[in-house]
Amino acid sequence: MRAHVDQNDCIGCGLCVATAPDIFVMNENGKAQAITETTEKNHQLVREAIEGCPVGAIQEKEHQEENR
Amino acid sequence: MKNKMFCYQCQETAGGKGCTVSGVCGKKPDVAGMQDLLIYVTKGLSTVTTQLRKEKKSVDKTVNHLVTMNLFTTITNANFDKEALSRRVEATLDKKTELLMQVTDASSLPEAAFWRGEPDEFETKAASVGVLETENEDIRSLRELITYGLKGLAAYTKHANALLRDNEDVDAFIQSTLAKTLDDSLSMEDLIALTMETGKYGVQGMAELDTANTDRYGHPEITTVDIGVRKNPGILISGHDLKDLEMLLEQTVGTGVDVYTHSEMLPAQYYPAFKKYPHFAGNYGNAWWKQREEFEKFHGPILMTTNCVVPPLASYRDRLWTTGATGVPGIRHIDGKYGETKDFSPMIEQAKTCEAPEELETGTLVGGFAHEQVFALADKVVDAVRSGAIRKFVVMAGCDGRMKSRDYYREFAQKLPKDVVILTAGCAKYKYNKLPLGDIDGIPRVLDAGQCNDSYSLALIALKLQEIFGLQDINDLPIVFNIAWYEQKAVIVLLALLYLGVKNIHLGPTLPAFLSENVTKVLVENFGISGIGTVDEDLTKLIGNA
Repeated sequence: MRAHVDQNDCIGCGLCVATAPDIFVMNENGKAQAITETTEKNHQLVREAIEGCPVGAIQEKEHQEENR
Repeated sequence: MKNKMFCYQCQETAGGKGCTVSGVCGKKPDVAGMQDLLIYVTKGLSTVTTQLRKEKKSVDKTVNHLVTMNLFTTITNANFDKEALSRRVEATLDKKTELLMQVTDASSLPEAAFWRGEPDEFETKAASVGVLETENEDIRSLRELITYGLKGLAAYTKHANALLRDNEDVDAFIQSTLAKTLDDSLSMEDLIALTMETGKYGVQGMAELDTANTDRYGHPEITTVDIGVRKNPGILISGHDLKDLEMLLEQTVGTGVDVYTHSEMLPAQYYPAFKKYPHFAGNYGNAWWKQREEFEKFHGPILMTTNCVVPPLASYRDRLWTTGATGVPGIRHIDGKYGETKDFSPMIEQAKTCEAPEELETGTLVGGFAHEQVFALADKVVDAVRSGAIRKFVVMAGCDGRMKSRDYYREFAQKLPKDVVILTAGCAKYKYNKLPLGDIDGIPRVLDAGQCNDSYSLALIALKLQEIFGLQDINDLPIVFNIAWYEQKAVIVLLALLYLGVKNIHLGPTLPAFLSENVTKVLVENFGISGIGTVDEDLTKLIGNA
C-alpha cells in the first residue's frame, strides 16, 4: 500500500511533507506525492498526514495504481 | 509534543482547529513565529503611542502607517518572507524605543512596551508571545477576534493612506485597542464591548476607503468586462490596491503592454478613471486560489499588490512581483512611500519579452453596483420589490477558498428562485459570477458592488432601502445574509455588519476556529449567527417558498 495524493485536489500546502518528510515530498508541479510504501513502521505518520490534509487529497492505494 | 507553531486565523486552518505543524497557507513555523513576534511588538508600540495620546502628545502619522502595515503583513497569504518580517520587527522596536523617551508616565505600561531584543533573539521570544499564551480560552478568543478584525481594518486603512487619506480617530482606535488586547484586567464583558466597538470603527474605516477610492477614481458604474485576452504581452495585477493600479496604468502607456486585472482587482474595471486607458484590458482568471495554474498560463509578469499570494511554482517564479504588504522569499519586491511613484519599469521591461496571455475563457462579466449606481436605480429596484418581481435579496459577499464544501455557494446561487437577487462583494463572487442567472426587469440577478471593502456599499444600500420602506429595523428588509469567509478582512466586515445591527447572518463554509464555545454562544444569542447546512435546507430557511 502506498499513500496516493490526488494531484487535482492537492493545494500544495506542504502539511503532509511537514508531518512525514520521509514519506511525502513536493514535486515540480508544487503538489505532494508519496515516495515510499506504507509500512508497519511509518503507517502512523501516514495516517496523520491523511487525516491532516485540509482538502482530503490523500488516500491509501495499492501500489500498482501508481504505475497506471 | 510541543507545537512547532500555532495559528488559527483563517478558514482553512488545519482540522478546523489550528495549524501546529505547518501553515495550510504555506507559511512555515519560522514565518508564523516571526508574525507572532511582529504582532507582539506592534502591540507593545501601541501601548506607548496610546500613552502618548493620553498625555496629549501627538503621534506622527508615519507611526500609524508602521502599525497598519505591520498588521497587514500578517494577514493570511500576504507575506511569507521571514527576513522582511524580521526587519519590520527591528524597525518597530527602534520606533518604540524612540517614542518611549517621550513618555512622561510609563508606570502603567506592560512588558511589551519595554521589551527589546536583537534579531538573534527573535525566534526565542516569538515562541513565548503566541496566541496560546493567553490561557483563558474565552479571553483568548475575544483577543484574537479583535486582533483579526483590526488586521482587516488595517488593510483597508492602508489603501486609504496610499491615496493620502488619514483618519486619526481610526488609527488611534486601532492602537488603543491593540494595547487593550494585552490588558489582563479586562473581563469577557469588556472585550465583547470592545469587539462591537471594533465593528463601529470597521464601518468608519470602510467609509474612509470608499471616499478615498471614489474621490480619486469616480463612483463605480455598471460595466461589462471582457474575460478573454488580447494579442499583446500583458501584466496581470492582483490584490486590492487601486493606487498601485493607477501607477501601473500610467507607466505602461504607449509600451505595447496591456494590463489585466485578477481576482479582487476585477472591480477596478468599474471605476470611470481607469476607462480612459485603451491598454487596460479585461479580467483574467478567477479567485485567488486558482492562481498557480492561471499565472502559469498568463505568460507575463504578475504584480501582487496585496494578499492572497499562493507560494509560486518554479514555472512562473521569475514573473511574480510583490509590492506593499506582500512578500515571498526570493521574489522581487517593488517598494515606495505613500505619495511617491513606484518604479514598475523592470517589470514592464520583462513584460515586453513575454508572449501574450493564453486565453482561459471567453465572455463577459457585469459589475459596478456600488452605492451610487444602485441609488441611481433605486426607483427601479423599489418598484420591483413592491411588485414582487424581486422577492428577496441574498447577500453572498465575502471570500472564496479551496475547500470543496464551498461548491455549496455555487449550488445555492444556481438553485435560488428566479425572483431572488444576489448582492455580492469580494472574491466569493467567483463561485457564481459566470453563471447565466439572468435578470429581473433588466436588473441583473447578481449585483457586484466591488471588492470585499465594498461590502460598505451593500450596507449603505440596505440602510437606504430601510429608509425608503420606512422600516424601524434593518432586519425587516427582505434581505438575508449567506456569507463566505476566509481571512481577516472578512472578520472586520462581519464585525461591521454586527455593529450595524444585522442579525441572523449565516457564515460559512465553517465557523472560525478562534471562536470559543462561549463566545460563539454570545454571537448566537445576541446576533443569531449560524453556520451553513445543506443547500436545500438553507434555501428553505433563508428564502422560503414563493
